[in-house]
Amino acid sequence: MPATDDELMLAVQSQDRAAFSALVDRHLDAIHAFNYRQTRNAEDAADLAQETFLRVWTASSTWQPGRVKFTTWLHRIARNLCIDAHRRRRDTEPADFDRLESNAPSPDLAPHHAAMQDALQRALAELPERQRTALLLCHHQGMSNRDAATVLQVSVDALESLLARARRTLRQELRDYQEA
Amino acid sequence: MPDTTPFGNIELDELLNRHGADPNGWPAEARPRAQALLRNSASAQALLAEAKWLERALDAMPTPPLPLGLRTRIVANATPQDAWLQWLTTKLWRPASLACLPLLLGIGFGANVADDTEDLEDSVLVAFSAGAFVDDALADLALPEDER
Repeated sequence: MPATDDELMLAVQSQDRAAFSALVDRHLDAIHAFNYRQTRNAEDAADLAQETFLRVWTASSTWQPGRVKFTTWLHRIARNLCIDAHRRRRDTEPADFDRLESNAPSPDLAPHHAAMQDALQRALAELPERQRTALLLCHHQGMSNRDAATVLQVSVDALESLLARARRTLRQELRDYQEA
Repeated sequence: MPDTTPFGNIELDELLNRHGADPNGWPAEARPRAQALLRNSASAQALLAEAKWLERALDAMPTPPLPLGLRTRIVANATPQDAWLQWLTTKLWRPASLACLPLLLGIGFGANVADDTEDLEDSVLVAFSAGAFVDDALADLALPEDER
């Protein structure tokens, strides 16, 4: 039976690189995707994923088993790093949505679908950070509302309110595509 | 006792926005009432269809593949830390921050007192008092140890 995240983290606290490698194998894809959806920039997403796991290694002694799930702790680190990266970028570069990578749509994708995907990504990028993070955690990262609330350090009710506003805004922004 | 509060499209819309389109994710107390509404109302079914459409669109959002070598690079960067360094960075900063708290409170309190000192004469008095204190301290130091 594979070791649980908690068991691996306990080993990581003793500087066990094999356990750390197993955690990376298990969670890198999800963290990389989370970072990419937050930043919409492949290079930033990779750098932030690397930084996230480096923090896991260097700050492993601050994680306490049973107090918070490893995935919740991991996503909190990733989120904080995304916020820091966004602040740095905002301070040094003017706001420019064209900087954000537009995912090249697959050639077999209908033009309507490609335009809708582009509109969705822009709408997601323009959501307030907490609303976007709430939606990403619950929809893409598969977290329960309770765990996502822990990552965002808000009550479950506040988290659900963030989700409701995010979904309402996205539906509003994409109404034209849905009716087409 | 069954919940008798009304459950219409407004409540369904809120449920879908808060919990998504999958009935398995809905709160147990709301699920049967939402499903009953959906069985009988075309407008409720349209709301559900709209919520499912958004979820499919979110599911279809692409992500780039992991860069080659990223996994290896991350693990290679995890070098064993010196025990003292780990203690310094993770254990010491909390008590150190606590130890600094009285200092910060003192600075804050001092700044407020200074703000409230509107009368110039008072400021001068404070300055002279401080000066006198320093003079006394210096004088003490100048005395032989048995005379202090």
